[in-house]
Amino acid sequence: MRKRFSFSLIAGIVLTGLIVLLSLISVFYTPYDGEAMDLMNRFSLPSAEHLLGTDHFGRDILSRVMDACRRALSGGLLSVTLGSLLGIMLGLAASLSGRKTRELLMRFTDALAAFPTILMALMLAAALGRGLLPSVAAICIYMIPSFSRLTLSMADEARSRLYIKAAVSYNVPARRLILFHLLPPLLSRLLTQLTSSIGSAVLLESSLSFLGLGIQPPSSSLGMMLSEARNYILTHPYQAVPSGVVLMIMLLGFNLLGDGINNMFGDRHA
Amino acid sequence: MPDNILTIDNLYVEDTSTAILAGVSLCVRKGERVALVGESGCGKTMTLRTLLHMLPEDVRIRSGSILFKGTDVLSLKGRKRRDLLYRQLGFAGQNTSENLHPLLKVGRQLTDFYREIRKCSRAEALERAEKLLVSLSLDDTSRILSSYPGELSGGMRQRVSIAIALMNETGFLIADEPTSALDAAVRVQIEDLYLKIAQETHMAMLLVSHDLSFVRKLADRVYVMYAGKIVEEGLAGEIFSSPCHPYTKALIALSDIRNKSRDEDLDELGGYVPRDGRDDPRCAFLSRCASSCAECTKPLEYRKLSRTHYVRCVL
Repeated sequence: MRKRFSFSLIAGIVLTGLIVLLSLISVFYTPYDGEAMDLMNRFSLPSAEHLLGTDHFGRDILSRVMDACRRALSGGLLSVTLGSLLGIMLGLAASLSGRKTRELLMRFTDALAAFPTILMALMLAAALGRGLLPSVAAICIYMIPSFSRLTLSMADEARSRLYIKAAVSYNVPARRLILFHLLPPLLSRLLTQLTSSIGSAVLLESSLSFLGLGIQPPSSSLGMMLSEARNYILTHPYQAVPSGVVLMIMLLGFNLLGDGINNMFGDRHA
Repeated sequence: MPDNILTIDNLYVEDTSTAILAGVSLCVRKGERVALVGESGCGKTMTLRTLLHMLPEDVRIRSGSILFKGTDVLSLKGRKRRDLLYRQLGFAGQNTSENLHPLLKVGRQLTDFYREIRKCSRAEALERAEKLLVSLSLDDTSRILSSYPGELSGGMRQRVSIAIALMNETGFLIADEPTSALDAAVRVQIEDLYLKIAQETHMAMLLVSHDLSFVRKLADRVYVMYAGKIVEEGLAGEIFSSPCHPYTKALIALSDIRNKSRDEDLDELGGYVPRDGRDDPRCAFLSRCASSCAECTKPLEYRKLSRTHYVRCVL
């Protein structure tokens, strides 16, 4: 039996906990208004007044990072939740339906997977206007294929198992079969996938806002802050540090958490 | 015959491309222990699965009938089939880790159906389960009942499967490869367990196995199956003392390997069970048969050797 609480689980909980805490606090309190400029006080290094310094407009970096964390986290959670739900439903439907429907659904999934995410985000931004919403939609679409393929392959495998066959033979109603027999054994794997997906969703959201497709100024986002810091990388290299480190902590946290959850459920994968 | 519990008559089962079972007929009488033997891929498990309505996808029943306690199982649907099958027989599946629900505690899996039939309390059902596990030589029963299947060893899981099959005292036990995938020590324990169940309960059994030494100890009657057909049937004594079909002889020779001295050559049975052409009335074993003759290419009859002994071979 594996250790229930592995190092990666604890480290993951600590790191993501830190990020979640920062995001929650930012709802009620930030040291300064993250959008208020102070042009007399640009590019200041960390001090007692500004814990993480100020940026090229003299805005408090800590406040901006806290706001950005909240946006990244909510964007990531929202897109992954939506994407995974749609993906899981698609995968289950494909696994349980006849050959033709199955082919149709999975080719549809292939088509989604084949579509470049950045291009999708561009198109959605053109249609819906720039902002958080189109990038969430694009990331959600990006998440669907991995979840539906994972669900399909696991559901197919589970369906050949004797306890499922027995349940079918025993005439268990379809809804109960899915919710009680088919889905629960898959959940631990899906949860692992979900947690690591939040990491990649956050990264993707940052890439989109780095490119100027996501959250728009003056609101802050990690990708945008990195993108702005790039202009001053030779004169004020510190500018890229806070947002970069926070992004790194976020990704590391979610990946470790996914790993830890996987270990925790390890001996029940059967 | 009124005292038949199970009668399978001329069962044909096919998948999209080819026949899997080509006219399987067998019967199990009250209190009788019947074994169905043959190599992997012969259709033994498929026969059971047809009875239990657990066929893989794409596999269809073409013709034939299965009478269980006088009722045609194949024509039953829904609740009626459930009531007939699940209340009157117990099924112990092959010993893979995939038979039990991985996220339900063993106690729950043992008692659920018992409670539904008896309408009794959880405590009563657990008590019955505990007694049953003790009689299956498991100690530490309270721990087992509150474990998940993944936390048990292979031997324990096999016993739990048997317990599930015995839980409802149905009087008819079906077991699929009860001794496969177990190490030698555990296999002997499980074998002894079946012998004990047989002695104590006198329940009818249908065993699917390729372990002939086990079958020899336990079965009253034996059906030998090859490529979707029964090739020989008879009382266990007849089959083991005077086997007639070359395939039966080969299987028995292979099972005696353990008794042979080291420098003797093994009579290895070369080749594989054919997948196609199973509904051909001619001998399917011809390509692997050591004693074939000119007669062998003609369609085969199911010949009677004695009142109980039949064979599908010209020899």
